[in-house]
Amino acid sequence: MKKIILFLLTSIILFACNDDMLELTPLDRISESAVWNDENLLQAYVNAQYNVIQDGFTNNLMYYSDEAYSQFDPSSAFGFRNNTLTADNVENLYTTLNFWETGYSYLYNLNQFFVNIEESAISDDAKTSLIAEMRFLRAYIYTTLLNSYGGVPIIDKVFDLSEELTGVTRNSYDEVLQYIIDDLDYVIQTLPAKQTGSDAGKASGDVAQAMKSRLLLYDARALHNPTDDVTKWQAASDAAAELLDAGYSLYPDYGTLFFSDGNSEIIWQRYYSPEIGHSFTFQSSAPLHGGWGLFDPTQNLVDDYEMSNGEMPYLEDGSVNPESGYDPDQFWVDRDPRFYELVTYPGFVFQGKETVYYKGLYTQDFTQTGYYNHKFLDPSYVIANTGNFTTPWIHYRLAEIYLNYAEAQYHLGNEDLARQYVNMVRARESVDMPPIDETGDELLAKIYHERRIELVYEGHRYFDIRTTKMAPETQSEPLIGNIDATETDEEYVYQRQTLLPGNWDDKFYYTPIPYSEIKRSNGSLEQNPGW
Amino acid sequence: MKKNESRMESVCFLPVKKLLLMAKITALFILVAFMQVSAKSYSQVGKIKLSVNNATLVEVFQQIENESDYRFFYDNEQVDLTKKVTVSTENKELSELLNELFLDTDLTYEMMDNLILVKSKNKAGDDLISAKSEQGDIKGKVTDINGEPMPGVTVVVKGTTNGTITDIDGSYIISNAPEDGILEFSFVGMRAQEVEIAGQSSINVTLVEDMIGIEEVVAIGYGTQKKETVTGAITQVNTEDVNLSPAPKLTDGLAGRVSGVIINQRGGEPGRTETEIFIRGRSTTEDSSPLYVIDGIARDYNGLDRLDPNDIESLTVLKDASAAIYGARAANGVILITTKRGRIGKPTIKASYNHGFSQPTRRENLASSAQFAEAWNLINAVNGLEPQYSDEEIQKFADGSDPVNYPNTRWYDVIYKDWKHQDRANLSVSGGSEKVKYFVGAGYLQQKSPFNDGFGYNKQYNIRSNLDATITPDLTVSIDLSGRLDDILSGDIDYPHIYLGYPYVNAFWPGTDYYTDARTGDNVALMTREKDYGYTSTDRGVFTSSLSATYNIPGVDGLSLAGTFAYDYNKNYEKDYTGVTYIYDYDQSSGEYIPKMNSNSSTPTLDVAFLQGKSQTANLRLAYVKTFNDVHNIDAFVAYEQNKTHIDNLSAGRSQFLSGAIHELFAGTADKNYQTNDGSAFETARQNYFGRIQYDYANKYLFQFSLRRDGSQNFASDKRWGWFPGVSAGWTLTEESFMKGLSSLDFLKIRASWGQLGNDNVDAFQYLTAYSYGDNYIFGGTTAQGLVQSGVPNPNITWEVAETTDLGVEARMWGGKLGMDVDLFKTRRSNILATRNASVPYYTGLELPDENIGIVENKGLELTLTNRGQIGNEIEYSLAGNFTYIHNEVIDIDEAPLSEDYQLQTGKPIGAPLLYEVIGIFKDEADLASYPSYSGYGPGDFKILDANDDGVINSNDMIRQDLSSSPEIVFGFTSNFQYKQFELNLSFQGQARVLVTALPVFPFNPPAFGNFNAWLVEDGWTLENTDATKPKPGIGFGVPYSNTTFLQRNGAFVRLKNAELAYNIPKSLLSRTGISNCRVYVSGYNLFSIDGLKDLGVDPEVNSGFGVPVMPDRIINLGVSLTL
Repeated sequence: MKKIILFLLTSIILFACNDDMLELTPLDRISESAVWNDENLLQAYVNAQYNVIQDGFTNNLMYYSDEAYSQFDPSSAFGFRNNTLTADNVENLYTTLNFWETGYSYLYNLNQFFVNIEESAISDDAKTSLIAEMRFLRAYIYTTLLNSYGGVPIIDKVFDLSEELTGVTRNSYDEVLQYIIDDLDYVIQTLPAKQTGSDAGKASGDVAQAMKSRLLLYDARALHNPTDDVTKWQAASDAAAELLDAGYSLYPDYGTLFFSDGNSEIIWQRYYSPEIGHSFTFQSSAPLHGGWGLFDPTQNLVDDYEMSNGEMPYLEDGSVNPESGYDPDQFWVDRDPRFYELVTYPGFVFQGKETVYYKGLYTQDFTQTGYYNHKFLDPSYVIANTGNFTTPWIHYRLAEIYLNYAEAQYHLGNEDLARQYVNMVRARESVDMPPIDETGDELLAKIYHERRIELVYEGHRYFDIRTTKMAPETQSEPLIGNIDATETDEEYVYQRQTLLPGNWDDKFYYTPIPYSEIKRSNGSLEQNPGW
Repeated sequence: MKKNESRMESVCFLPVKKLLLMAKITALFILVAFMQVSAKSYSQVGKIKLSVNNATLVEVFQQIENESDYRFFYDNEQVDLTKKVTVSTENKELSELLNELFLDTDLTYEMMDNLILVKSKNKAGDDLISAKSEQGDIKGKVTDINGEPMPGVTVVVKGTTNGTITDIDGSYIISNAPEDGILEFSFVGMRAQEVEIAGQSSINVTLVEDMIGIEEVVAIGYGTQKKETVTGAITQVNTEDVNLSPAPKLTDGLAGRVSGVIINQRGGEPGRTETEIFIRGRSTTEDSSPLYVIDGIARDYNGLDRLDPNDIESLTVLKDASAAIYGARAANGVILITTKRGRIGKPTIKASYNHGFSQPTRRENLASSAQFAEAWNLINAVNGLEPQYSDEEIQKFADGSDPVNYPNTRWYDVIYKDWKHQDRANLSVSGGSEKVKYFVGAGYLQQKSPFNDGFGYNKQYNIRSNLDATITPDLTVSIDLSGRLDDILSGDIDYPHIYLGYPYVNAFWPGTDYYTDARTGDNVALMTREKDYGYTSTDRGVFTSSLSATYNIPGVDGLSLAGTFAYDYNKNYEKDYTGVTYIYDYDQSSGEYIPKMNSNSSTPTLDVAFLQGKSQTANLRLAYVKTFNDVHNIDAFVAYEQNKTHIDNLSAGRSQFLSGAIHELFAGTADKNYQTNDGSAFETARQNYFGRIQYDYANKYLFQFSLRRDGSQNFASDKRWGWFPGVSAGWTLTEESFMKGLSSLDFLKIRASWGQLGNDNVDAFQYLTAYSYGDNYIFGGTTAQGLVQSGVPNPNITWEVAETTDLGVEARMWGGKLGMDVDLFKTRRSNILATRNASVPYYTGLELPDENIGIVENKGLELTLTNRGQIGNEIEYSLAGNFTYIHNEVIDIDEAPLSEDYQLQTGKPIGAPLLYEVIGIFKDEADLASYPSYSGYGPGDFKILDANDDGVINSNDMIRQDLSSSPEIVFGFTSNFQYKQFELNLSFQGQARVLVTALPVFPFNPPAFGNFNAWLVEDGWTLENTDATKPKPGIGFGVPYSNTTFLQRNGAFVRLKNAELAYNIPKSLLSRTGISNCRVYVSGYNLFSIDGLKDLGVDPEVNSGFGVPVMPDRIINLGVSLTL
């Protein structure tokens, strides 16, 4: 027995005398040294940073202007209209507008990369390519910050926990803009113009060029160009011009354009897969088709669609345009073909089922505007809340570049060229709207109008009305729906009523920096005016 | 009656000198001596087949020896075995046979295992020992108050080492006792008695249970200690008390019973209830849960949560420096759980069965459809819109005249059963001889779905076997094994939608069982009734084992070596299934119900996850226990312990099942795009060196010191090791001669302790820069691997340190009638591990690790009073009350720069919320203009205090509250009454100085969000009622609502936590059944409560902060327990 005891005790002691037992390495992680010298792991590190890119399927900017309405007040969209948006609750906004925390946390990763990549043992080619991808993402981050906040701090170092972390101040709008342009120019020179195959969707020269085009267009507009400096318009024009003959062409069908993978018009799109999908298709489908019926187009938007003859249905004074042939009781007849790709209307059929409008027994998810969204909806999906829809999000497409170019040419005094490019958009095979012939201010209004219709729901409106300074006018209009809420019969009755009041304050040109962040900086960050 | 084996073994007074005289029968002497030492028993109650005719007793004995394993011992000189007998039996108990054989003789016998000792009845002294002894022998019997014999009672001639232990019949013989001497009778758990011999030769004694348990032994971590010599703040609860609760979880029955321990049942569905336990309050911003040690091994909280209360002997809470023996993990306090073990004696079989009926304590009082419609109309009116409902429609909602089109659906009533059922059955067998002792128990628990036609359940099966074997007199070995299976099925129920469900929507088409759409399929009735909507099945297995050995090292008296090796294994197999369900549209023209796929899921999807965890703990302990000169008691040890855990995870999933018939992975799609799998592992390790020395001088001056050195893998190698000392001392004043005059004061002890304890309960590897796969991205339609840095490393991360001081007084007065324990304590937790997210700007991009920042102090008072006595002759009662006051104060913490003074956490309790203070409701535009308001607010909205008086309402006006959701005052009161066969037990629990979030944090915006608590519209603002106390509906996101004082309530309550009325069936009725005890009882849990949340229909123990609460249960239970 004693022997057994001795044996047991000895084994316990031997078991115990393992000095290294506390030297564990994580089994669910990879060590630092392995990462920075392995091209595959570095590529994976870069891949992960692409998640900083926001898209309209998860950042539904259509709620923040006058395109769409949902009574659920998505991400405090009502705040702009009932004045409840403050620097204290700005963090409720969608990430694209409230990009501060997200942007800077990815910048940390990017700066970590820029610090470590120099010493990395990988090949120079790979290094150059990875650096260019990361500089593209950096440009994306600063562009998004710039659009939301104006000038922001340029952070190009990796902070250390032990150093003084407060006291950083904002760089000027121009400094940030130049910083972005430098990055984009590097990308344009370094990366291939187009990425294809398994690289499709990655940063490329053309993508950087498209980003530059939009950025410089915004820069040339009234908000950033109070003196109407023509050189800014020239820069915007030049940036757009690079893409006019870069091998892209308008896709004939305006409807399937948005779910025809990698078609000729797309400059940059975000791909999804069943594993990493979105739920926009489900969220926006009408309840009777199995969805939640969000993103209801407003009457403000619906009224802005021309008749197929090119006339507006209503005149400035709100009366029906006698030349339009518009019948308010049959508002869906003879509209711009793009109308039928955006909204549902009586007799609209999706997946073989007619959309029915009646309040019936339930009201909640039924439209509050009288319309449901139809844009981006690929009928091949079974509509359910599975969150794995793979319709890609199109960041940049040729029609936008045409309109960017048209607007720049207008400001450069080339009205013919401007009309030509607007009309090219209108002449798309499935759209085929009559050409415009306006001049002067009316032409500019037509260019803006064309953007509103052609690029509707694609995340432009919020920024377009701000950079062009149209917002004080358009945002002062109340949001209108077209529904008789008291009617409970099966028959749907259209009746206009106000959903949200009009409201504008010049502080809305920029979103506020979260007040908590101003405090964290110990007051060194200056808040945007009015907040 | 409480028995304690270790006590019996440790006190053995052998009349050695006398026995040595008995040289003649040396062999027999050894045997007898052994018998004297141990409490006697015989477990092999054999049946004997025997047939003799006119044989001598010797011959009969020989025959029995041949037929069985029994052996007879006797002294030929003393017993006459020549008597002739005739016996014939087929099937008789041996004892019965021997009784017959000895009927007309002067012989008697004693049995011990298979040995039968035959002795003479009528000689002075009666047995072999006393046969040779002098005059002055005293014999007698010790019984308990029920007249049951008490074996194992120590009987000593006071002031000598002359003593013995009572045998199985409670009998004793003590030799050579002086006529003027005093006999001391003692037994653990019973009050010791002294009887003057005064010439008597026969002294029978009845021992009564000790009221406080002077001799009670408490677990103190790596050992036990007599309660009277304890110098730390330690409370032990015997689970007999806790078991009175019908709550399925041990911890729920504990609430209100232990001073200094805050227990709140935060509610939850069966099998998933959450109980929050803090010892002496929260003292860190991170996890404040105590360490749970089950049978000497740190085992996780789930282990305790689902332990069968019937398996547990005692539960001990270490509240001060006494926890320092657990060093690195002790800062939040330690709870020691000791499971039951066998005791010497015949097998005791216990069986019990309980059937409980339970229901939520409260149901929120939600708005009716008429109230809802009115609120909606009000929102429209404020916004200048037409009303949503006409007065006639609202009338229809109110009077129920058109239930098809104008229903008033009470979703709680549709969803919840009035009563749900639970069953618990237990069976245990325990007993043992001096060689082997055993406790074997098994239990079964079943809780059924709380929902009407619900499919969920919670089942638990557990089994335990605790064995102790004495291999040689110096070596004992214990093997403990336990296993548990959990089988839990729960639905994917969207609880908020029970609350938010629109009252104007039917759950079913009237008169049918067709589900309505409700809200695009968010029909909670469907979720709770249709398994296909989605369910999670959990199949969990837990196996714990430990092997321990204690070896008394020969040659050095009191020195022993003990070691334990424990291996725990748990696995969890979880299946999440979502299928396709249907809701129905009604076609009014055809009268048909048309099925429509619920948008929840278009395709069956299954995810499975498998986890297995292994934990190995080994320790080795060298102990020295010795008493010098009768007064210097030393109990000391040094030890080493280490622990390793390893967890493996594996998960996989498929969707696009062609059919929902089989819920297994293989039945899912073959398309790899719709298949997933993943796996990883996780390890931990700890090493600890520790020791403790206890010394007392004659139970009078008490001293204890412990020191532990711990290493944790959570920290870098140079920050890994820490020292954790604990020291305490006590002085039992009543042992002093100058106190002896105070006859009313039985016991008075003062004690003090100081210690440093650690806490490393944070994520491991925060000191390393590491990367993990994740954040994948899609390029060209295929998934590209992503890699992310897992946070910013903090190479300096190390222990939290708690410095704790305690001052205590224990007193018992008037023969134990009144007992009192008072403790004053102070704990200063420094190096608190928290993230600096209040002060580090986002622009740094730092994903912050835990850093050692912050100091928190807890100061408080604990008081326990006990009273025991009788009312008249018939009613016995005991009362106990406890009260705890804990003041928790943040001394230093990461604060947001530029904060107003009234916003700082410093000076306030941990977790005190920062809230807008609502001082009223804006009546009208004039009122609105008269006081600053939040941007966008109008009449009917909150008037918020402009705390800094700057004319603007913004986050600078938020005020740090003085209280948190953790109460400053907790108290409990328990009472037991016995009247004849009846027992009544009542226990109350209460708390005060606590804030609860009383309403869900959803915006009060009925059309958009759903239903609301009807309280909100009682005296709510309307266009007519402008002088209101509640705001108008239509509150959106982002504005002050959920973060206002409006949602907060005083969470003080007193509740009848547990109540039990029991009837013990009289022994006379049971005598023929073989049942020694039968108890039938009715008990209740959470029977009623006095609090300020009744108007909301919210339970005060629930904190709504995280969404819509699931209320805790009220339980009514019927039970029966049997002892064989």
